[in-house]
Amino acid sequence: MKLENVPSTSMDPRLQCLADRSRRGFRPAATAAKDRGEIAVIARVKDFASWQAMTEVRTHQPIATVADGVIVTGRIPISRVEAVRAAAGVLSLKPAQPVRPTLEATVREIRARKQDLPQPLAGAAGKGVVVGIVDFGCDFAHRNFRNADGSTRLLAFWNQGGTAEGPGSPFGYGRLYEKAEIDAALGKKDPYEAFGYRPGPAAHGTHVMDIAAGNGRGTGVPGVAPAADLVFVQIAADDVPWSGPDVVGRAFGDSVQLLEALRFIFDRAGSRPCVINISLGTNGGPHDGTSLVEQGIDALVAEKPNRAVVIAASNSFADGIHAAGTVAAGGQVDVRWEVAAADSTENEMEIWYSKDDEFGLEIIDPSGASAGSVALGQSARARDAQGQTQLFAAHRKADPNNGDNVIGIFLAEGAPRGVWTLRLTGRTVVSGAYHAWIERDDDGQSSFPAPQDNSHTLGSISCGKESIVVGSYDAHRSDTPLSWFSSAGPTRDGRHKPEVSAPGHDVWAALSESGDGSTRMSGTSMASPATTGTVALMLSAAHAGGLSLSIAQIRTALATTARRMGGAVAWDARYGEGRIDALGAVQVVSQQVAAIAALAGPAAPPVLERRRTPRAPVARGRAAAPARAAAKR
Amino acid sequence: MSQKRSKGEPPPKLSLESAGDGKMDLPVSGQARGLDDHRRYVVAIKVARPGYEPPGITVRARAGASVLTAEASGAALKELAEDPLVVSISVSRPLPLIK
Repeated sequence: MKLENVPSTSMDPRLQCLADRSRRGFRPAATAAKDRGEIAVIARVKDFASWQAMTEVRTHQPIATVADGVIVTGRIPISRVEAVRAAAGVLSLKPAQPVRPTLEATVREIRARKQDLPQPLAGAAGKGVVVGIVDFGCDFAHRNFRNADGSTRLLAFWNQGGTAEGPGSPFGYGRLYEKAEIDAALGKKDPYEAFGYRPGPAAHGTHVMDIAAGNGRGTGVPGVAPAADLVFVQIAADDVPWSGPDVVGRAFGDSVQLLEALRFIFDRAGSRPCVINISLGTNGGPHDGTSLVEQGIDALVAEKPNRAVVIAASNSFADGIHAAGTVAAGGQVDVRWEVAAADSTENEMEIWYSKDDEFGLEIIDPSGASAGSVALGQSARARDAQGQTQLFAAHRKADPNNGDNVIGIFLAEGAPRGVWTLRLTGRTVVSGAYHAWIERDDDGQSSFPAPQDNSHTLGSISCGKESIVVGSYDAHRSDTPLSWFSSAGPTRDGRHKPEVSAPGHDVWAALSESGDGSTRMSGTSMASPATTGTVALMLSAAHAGGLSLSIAQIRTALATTARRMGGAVAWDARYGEGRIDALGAVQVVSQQVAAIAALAGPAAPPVLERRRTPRAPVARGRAAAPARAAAKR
Repeated sequence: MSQKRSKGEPPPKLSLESAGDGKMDLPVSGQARGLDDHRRYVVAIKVARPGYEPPGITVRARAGASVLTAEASGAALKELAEDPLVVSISVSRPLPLIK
């Protein structure tokens, strides 16, 4: 082989290669994006008008304004590459690159790439923060969760479903693996076998953890907070008494063990900032934040500053699981409930209404026959000829957690299929409003007949007062449309949840048991960890600057910097306050750090004392966020 | 649980029962089955006085001053519901992945 001299230019090496091949007669094939003999390019030009004026350029598009010009795209004949690059006003010209299936779309869209973030905070990248993941399937061997020397980034891994060995299991159950044990397993030929644990192929938890805090050593693109330390809890269900084969849906975790998972992670973080991601939930519950698990989450978050819990909104928007209406005094409303003929599972529904009202309830079976009535404060049961329960109804007065009244209906496997009718009558009415939810059932979801009210479809634990709840959109499209499945708020008591939204559609992130591969998943489960990572960036920046953040400050910074859609002026039931903006949220924190430093003056106290210094509140109101104007561009 | 209704079987008719305890927060499927006095349950409990630890249960964890997780038999839970310092008792309920 002999090297041959070719004309040298300052052009991008890949363009030089293409130009050289063009001289030799090569013509790239036509694609959906360009004609034969053309290439797609991205350029930085002094002004868009001059780019438009170039007759070689087809399908000109302005993308963004930068300090010295405009970023543009277009298609140009490969034979004219050198001429276009040499034209006055063209500052930079590069060929379009194939999009690798990685987390790039997520971190770019939320402005969380290292180059997006202000220095020196970009270097923090979650450093000093513990990111906790409560999920299923942790691939501790994936390179995205390992350091440069091959050691694990996990501080601890608690498998709640594992067999306890010794006294070390938190709360007396499960198997706890410390960092040293994980490192020892990673040194073995088959780390999973050595560890006695396999995450399973395409494990959900591995994917989620990578979005929040993978370091990209395996997949090539880091997650949002790649320098954070990690704690993973694989949740499991205790022996829930109604979680046998006839339970509605399948139980993977349970509400009490979730609280214990959070307790464990926060305790393990100790005085370090900590944010925990949860992607669990069902459809039932009061949807006003008063369930005990939601009260417990709120209490844990409020115990100390520098804590947050981020929860997926849920994927139930299109499932037809919510109905609402108003019952007038003396009036009647029929709530219809459709159970498919092929549905062989149990089914549950709850109807919640105000403590100030009293409704009558009559249950009408699919044949149109009345099964009977259940007054407020009564329970009732219908049995089949063998004495087995077919239908159970509880019309409960004054739920202990919020005082409201609730109707629960349970249909056993053998209950008649078809459309059931729950006839509500207004006996005493002050409000008259009711909301009904059908419990999640992955093996046969019953629903309300069309037209359906898809508002208020947040998950059962996604309505707390201190949690941050996240909806999903598609970051691969320039118009960032909502994901069709992303559940809608508000809460039953009218609070604005989800707070924000994040990329959750077709997200490529770590594939378990692949070593360094990635896989695609969609769901609010994928949007939530992008927000978890963003909170980790905020906490990391605050920590580096000696600042403590309350959960109220974290929530406000996320909300005020979120980018609203299409000129929206108010909270949206599915986008929330808008698309999260990591850069904007971190800038709010950095401004707080700078303000404290300015207040402290030259005789600034030590960092630890400064943490106790009263702070100016994070600016409220959307216009007050300095990053917002930039985000709109 | 029952089998599917055979042809000619009469439609279900409700018979009234005594309502469940006011402090007990159970999913309706749990209410339908009822608590077994001898069975062990895992529960979250809210107490009226911060730090209060009700008798007859094994506390596992605390979430703030007023919410705790615990284990108790069904019989103990029924007694717990009579404790004036107990606000509510929530028997653990399934939480599947959002996917």
